[in-house]
Amino acid sequence: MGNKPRVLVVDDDARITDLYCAWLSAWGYDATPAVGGAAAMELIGQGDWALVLCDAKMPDVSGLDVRRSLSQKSPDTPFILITGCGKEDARIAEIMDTRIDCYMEKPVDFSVLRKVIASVLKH
Amino acid sequence: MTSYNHAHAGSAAGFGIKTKFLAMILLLFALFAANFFIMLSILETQRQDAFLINIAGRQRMLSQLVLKLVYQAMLERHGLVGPGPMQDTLKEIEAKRALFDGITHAMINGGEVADGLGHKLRIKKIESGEALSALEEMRRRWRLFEDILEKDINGDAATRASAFKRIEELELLGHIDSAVGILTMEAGEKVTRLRNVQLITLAFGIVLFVAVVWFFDMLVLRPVRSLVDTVMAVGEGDVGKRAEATSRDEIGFLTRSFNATMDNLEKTTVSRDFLDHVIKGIYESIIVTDKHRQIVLVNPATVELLGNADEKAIIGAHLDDVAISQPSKRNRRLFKPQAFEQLLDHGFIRDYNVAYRSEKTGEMIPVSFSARMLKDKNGGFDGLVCVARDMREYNMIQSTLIQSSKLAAIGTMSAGVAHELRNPLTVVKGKAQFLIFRLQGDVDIPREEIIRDMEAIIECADRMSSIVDHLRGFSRESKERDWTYLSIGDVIAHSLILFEKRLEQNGITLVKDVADGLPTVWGDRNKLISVFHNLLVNSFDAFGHVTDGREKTIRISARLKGAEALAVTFEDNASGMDKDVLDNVFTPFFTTKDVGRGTGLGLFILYGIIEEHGGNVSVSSTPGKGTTFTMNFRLDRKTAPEDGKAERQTNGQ
Repeated sequence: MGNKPRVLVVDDDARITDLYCAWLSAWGYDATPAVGGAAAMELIGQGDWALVLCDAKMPDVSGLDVRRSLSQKSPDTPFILITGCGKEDARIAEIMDTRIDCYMEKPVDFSVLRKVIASVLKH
Repeated sequence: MTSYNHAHAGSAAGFGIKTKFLAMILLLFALFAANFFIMLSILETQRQDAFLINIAGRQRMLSQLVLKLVYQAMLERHGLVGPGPMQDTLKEIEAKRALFDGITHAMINGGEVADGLGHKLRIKKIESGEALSALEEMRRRWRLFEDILEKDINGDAATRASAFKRIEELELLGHIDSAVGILTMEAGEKVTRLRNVQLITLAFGIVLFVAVVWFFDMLVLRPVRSLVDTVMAVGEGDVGKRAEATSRDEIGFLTRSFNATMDNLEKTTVSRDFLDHVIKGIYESIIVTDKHRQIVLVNPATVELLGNADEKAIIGAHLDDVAISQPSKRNRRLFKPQAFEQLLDHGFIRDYNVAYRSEKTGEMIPVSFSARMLKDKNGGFDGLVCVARDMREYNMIQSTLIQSSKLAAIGTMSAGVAHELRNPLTVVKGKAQFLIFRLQGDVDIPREEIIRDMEAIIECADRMSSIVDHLRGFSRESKERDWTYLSIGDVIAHSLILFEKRLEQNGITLVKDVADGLPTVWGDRNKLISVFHNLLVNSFDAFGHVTDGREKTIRISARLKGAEALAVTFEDNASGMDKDVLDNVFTPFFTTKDVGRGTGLGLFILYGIIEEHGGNVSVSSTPGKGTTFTMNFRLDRKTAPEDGKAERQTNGQ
């Protein structure tokens, strides 16, 4: 199973991370859940990730903070931001010149998400 | 005060009452004296005239006597009559003649004469022409008669005969009679004339007396009467009445002083009429009671408010039958012991939400009620003055404002609500899609896994429907039937449901510190929830200004405050407010938020809601440190214990 791309899934709601992981496993990825931003930062430091899928608003550490932390460790790792509050967070990201490969709004359509992940990983 | 000075100046120059009295007494005395002396002199004249008549009669008798004696002497000389000594007769003639001469002389020239009997007769000189000339004629003839007596009476027979003849020709008696007659007649005329003078004098005296009395009446008594009439009229309430000040004496001074005093009184105090007009003109309802709280006075606004035809139906009623405390429907008495104690302690109560019950229509009219205690001379309770403002229109406007502020709040909340909904939506959609994906594949899925996924979907749907329920409850307009006994702890918990996510996202710690076993509060659940929503939204905004990375905390606590109040405090450690903002927090349309974000109505409406719940709200704040809102809810002694019964009913759970 070592050839499967490792994907880190971040959300403050465990039901959401579980759902993502179930889908990603079904699509043939090696998905790891991180409940909350702090847990995500820890996991980013522990290994190499092919992709990070992250919620924008979390009570402890925001999605953009996770992105910054990832940029320091491995700037080339693709980052997909999932927002609950519409396009506002993405716009803030642009203003802050943070590299975001893609953003998606909740509720996520998983058939779309599959294509987005495939497209991001091809680059 | 100028009129007082004027009155003083006037008195100095005038004649005093004392002078007028003295003048009147002197005048009356002079009148009396003059009359008296005139009468005396008339009486004296009359007496003298009567005496003269008497004297004239005597002269006549004397003359007859002398003639008789002459004839007697003649007869004696010739021995024709008795042996009487002729010498005696002659002496007698001489004496009588002398007396007659003396009296006649006195009558013509005036003076005293002896009457021959030892008395002296004082005879007034006769002045009138006719009587005098008759008298003088008589004297002339008498002298001729005496001449005849002297020369011829002792002559021979022929001489004597001629003497008698000449004596007879003298017609002595006739002239004496004529003189006496004229004298008597003149004296009689004089008496008549004097009587007329007497009558005229008397009449004139009476006229003068009346005139003096009339002048005194005009100068002294009339101003006094006028002043007395005015004082009585003023006493009976005609305060505009003034006496006419005509004289310049003490009465005039008194009148002017009285007028000036009344002018000043009218300027400095208000008459009953004036007060009456003021009370009638006041738009708000005024009720005055006696110490038993029985209504003694109402203004037309009260009559109109209660829908009565006139004040008769209200006067005499007990205040507690008209003013009913709100918002309970149990017809609680207005003056619950503590409210009445407050009234006695402070002397007043202000802006109580009560209802006036219209006896006629049965309608409960919400009013803002203030009352002040009336005190008797010893400072004891003597009654109440109650002022009430009709709150129907205000309440209508307020409920409209609450509604529009809710709409504004929904806008503010929508972002949070969206987030709340998106997570469960993601789960619902993702789980459903995943199930389809797996069912379409050839992998065999365990039945339990499908059930678990479906349960997760249902759980998320429940959560979403509960969010929607709260939104609906919040936006719904409040109705009277929404009032019930509420547990403050539950209200706070429900208020937080929509905000939990936002609190978490903004990194705000919420500390809920609600004491156990608190009594329930009579209130409208949705209104109270909107109070907490308002405070939460404000705190969020205030935390937006905090950049120093402090630990953000909102603390909501509820505990008993004495036996009669429940205190709820809402405290944050956000940016706080400076004094200018603090002074205006409850002012409508005052906002510190950006245009389009704040309505400026939130805290104004909050204030109204707390008041409506019979409570009060206060706020304290330190700029940069945080803000604390304290809401005190008055507890009714009859409040049901917290058994949650009412709560469950409204929840419908």
